[in-house]
This record gives sequence, structure tokens and C-alpha cells, in this order.
Amino acid sequence: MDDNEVELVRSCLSGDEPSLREFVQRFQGLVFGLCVRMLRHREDAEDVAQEVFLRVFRNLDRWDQQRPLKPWLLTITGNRCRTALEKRSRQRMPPEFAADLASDLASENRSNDAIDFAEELQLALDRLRADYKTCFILFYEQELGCAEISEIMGCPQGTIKTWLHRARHELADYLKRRGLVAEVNNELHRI
Amino acid sequence: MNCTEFERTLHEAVESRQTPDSMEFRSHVEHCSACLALWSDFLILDQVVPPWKRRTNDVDLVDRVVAQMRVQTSADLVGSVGADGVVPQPRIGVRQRWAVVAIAAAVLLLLLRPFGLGLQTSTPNSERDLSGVRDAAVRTDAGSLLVVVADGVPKFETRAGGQDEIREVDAFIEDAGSVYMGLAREAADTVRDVAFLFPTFEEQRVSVEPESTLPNWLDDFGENLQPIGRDVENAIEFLLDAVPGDSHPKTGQTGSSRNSWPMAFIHGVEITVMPRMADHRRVMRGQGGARNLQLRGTLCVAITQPEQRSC
Repeated sequence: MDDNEVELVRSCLSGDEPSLREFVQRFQGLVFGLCVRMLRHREDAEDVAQEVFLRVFRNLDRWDQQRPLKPWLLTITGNRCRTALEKRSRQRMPPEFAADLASDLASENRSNDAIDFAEELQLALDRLRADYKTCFILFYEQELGCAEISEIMGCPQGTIKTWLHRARHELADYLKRRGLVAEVNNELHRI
Repeated sequence: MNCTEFERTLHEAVESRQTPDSMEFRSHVEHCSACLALWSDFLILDQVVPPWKRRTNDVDLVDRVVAQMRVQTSADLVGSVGADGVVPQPRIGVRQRWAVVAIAAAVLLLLLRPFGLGLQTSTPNSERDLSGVRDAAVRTDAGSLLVVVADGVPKFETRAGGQDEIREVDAFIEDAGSVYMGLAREAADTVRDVAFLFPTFEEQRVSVEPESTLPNWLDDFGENLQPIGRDVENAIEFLLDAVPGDSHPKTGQTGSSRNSWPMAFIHGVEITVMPRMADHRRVMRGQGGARNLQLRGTLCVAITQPEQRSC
């Protein structure tokens, strides 16, 4: 257990504003990163991330200090993202939003090949079902273990492993269809 | 190493974020095309994930979050900062909250003691001798908790609004009577609509006059559909019995001598449903040649052919 986190949380519970600011500063990358991966729209991700922090502060006294803080934060974040996605799917997307979303998706710097890989992978991720996508993001971007992911997503660890491998398989299939296999063919000859 | 073992090894490597490097692993890949495909998938993701992870998500939410916390004035928000920088005390936990509620309830009960609050018992005649009982909690039959705070025998108190209640009950009975009236009228309309007013064969049935040229179609219908007629008759009887005796439904008929239920023309034949034999006899006197078919019970049906009816 991270003592710094426990001390920070206690300071936040006492209402110390600098502690609140530090808390947001420390975890905003974690929270916003998951939001932007899930929602694929920066403004929506900022709104949801803000809402996540408000909820966190509202329920900070319920956090079990014997358990790590990061999975608890990501659980709330995942739930908020899921809610936002469901809400978005129920609403008809206005034309200007669709344009913004497309703009966000295409806003990456394409001069760098590495960024192209990133964009291709993100496009492939967008095609996955939500639980596969969440599992993949938590595993690779947040670098969480399967046990932590199972706790966040509320599923057995075996299910998480199955989702992870299926996500990898589908992503690889998509990237192969996109013609990216030639880029890594040299690696096949390593062995 | 077989394919199963290869796949298991590969999965374990993925879950532990490692790259398999054993000789038998490599040897199996070189000789198995299926496992080679799995290995290529592994390598593809191994190449694309790092640049995807490195993509930074620069954002500054600190000011937004703190500003929003200031806007929210809900007491449940932990650490909300006032405009003057004064921080309110953090909220109490759930257990402490329930403890406060329990203490407040106990204090309230104690405060009510001096006012001699004697609650009405559930049974009016339950004059139990409770002398010497102070501040006792009595559980009623219904399970509700009554707190007896006064000495002596509790008295049944008539509530001040008793007369109003009686008037309400009377109004309710009147409403129920109106409902019955409506039901009976609707039943009669339904019977009329389906045109299934069939008689039972009784000795009182009167056949048509010899000089009538109209066919004896009613007898044929009645003969074949007696059970339906009996069911309808029973239903109408029940509804009419339920109608208050002084109820006289208005039929809108022009004839002053007629005080009958709704009527209808069916296939050119006038059918009138009448509640009493007296009305039936009046119709008979006024309309010669009417075919009179009497149903069992109090309901009479006069079926008159239009050309024989006297206006």
C-alpha cells in the first residue's frame, strides 16, 4: 500500500485544497487517458474525467485504505465511460459532432510512422466490443494485472484473460487486413 | 512441445508481459504453420502497442475540478471549498449518521412525554388497565408500535371528523348505486346490440295472429338458441336485482304510458325490454297483435312488428 496515497487521501478528506489539487494532478493522466481511449472525443473525455473526480471526492471516504487506489479510480472511470457511451448511443449524433469526432480521429501527426501504428491500433480498438476494448486498454495502457482488471470490471480472472487474448487476436487480424503485416515481417525472421 | 503447450506458453507470456524465448518454442514455430500464425499475431502487437502507449494525453483538469467543487454546495461533497477559502468539516460516515438518527428519535420521544400524548388504540373496546405503567412501549396486533406515555386507562376517542365520515359513506353508497345503474344499462344495451333476446318456451307464449303474413322466424331462433337466452336472462336478472328499487332509467320514449327500458329496432321489429309485468300489460293493451314473449323472472320483452304498432 502506497503510504503517500493514503496520506494524500486523508488530506483530501480533511478538505485541504492543495491536497485536492495534488490529487487531481497526480491521477488526471490515468483517468483522462482511459476516458479518451474509450470515448474517442477529447471534449467528452474531459467532461467525463471531471465528473469522475467529483464522484471520487464525493465518495473518497468509502475507499478501503487497505486496497490500492488506482483500481478503485479506474473502476469509477470505466463506469462513467460506459454510461457516457450508452448515452451517446441512445442519442442521434448531430452532424457537427460527427465532424468533430472524425477530426479527432484524424488529428494525429501522420509524418511519423510510429504515430501511424498508434492510430491504426486505435482504429482497430474502436472496432472491438466494449469489454474487450476496456480490458485491452487497462492491461496495456494502464499496465494493470489481470487480477486488478478482474476487480475493476467485476469479472472472473479467467474471463479477463480470455477477453485479453481474443482482443489481441481480433486486433492482429484487423491490422493484417490493413496491410501492416509487411511492416513487421522482418521480426518473423528473428527466430 | 505440441500446439496446446505452445499456445499455453504464448498466453502465459502475454499475461506476464514477457517474450517466450525457449529453444523448443522456437523449434515448434518453425515446424507448425498454425502456431506460426499465433506467433505473428504476437509480434504485430508487440510492434504497435508501444507507440500507441507513448501517445501522450496532455490535459489539465485541476482548475476545472476545483471550480466545480466550489459551485456544488451539496453537503455530501467532501472537501468542498467555500468562496472565502473556508473549508467546511468533512461529512460524517454512514454509521455515525444512523447513530445520530437513533439518538434524535430517542430524544424526540423523551420530549413528547410532558405533553401526555395518548394515542388512539386500534380496538375501541380495549380498555386495559394500565395503571402504574409509565413510558411503556406496547406492540399492537398489527405490529405497529404505540408508546403509552400517560397513566391510567386509555380511552377510545371519537375523532372529530366522524360526521363527515358518515356523509362520505353515504356518498359512496350513492355512487355505488349509480354504478349499478350504469352497469345495468350497459348490460341492456349489450343485449340489444347482439339481438339475442331469446325466449324460453313457456305456456304463456302467444303465437302470431292467423292473418299475419310474416314468417314465424322468432320461434325458429328461440328453438335453436335456448341456452344462450338463459345465460343472458340470468345476467340481466342479476343486474336488475342489484338496481335500487326506486331507480327509473330514462329511455327518452315519447309515449307517456310507457315507462320502460331502452328499445331497439332489429330487422324491422321493435324490441322493448321492460322491468315489470304491469308495463308489459300496458303495452299489450296499446299495441294489438304484438307478439309477447316472456322471459323467466322479472324481465319482459315485447317484440312488436312496426306495421302493427299504434302510434
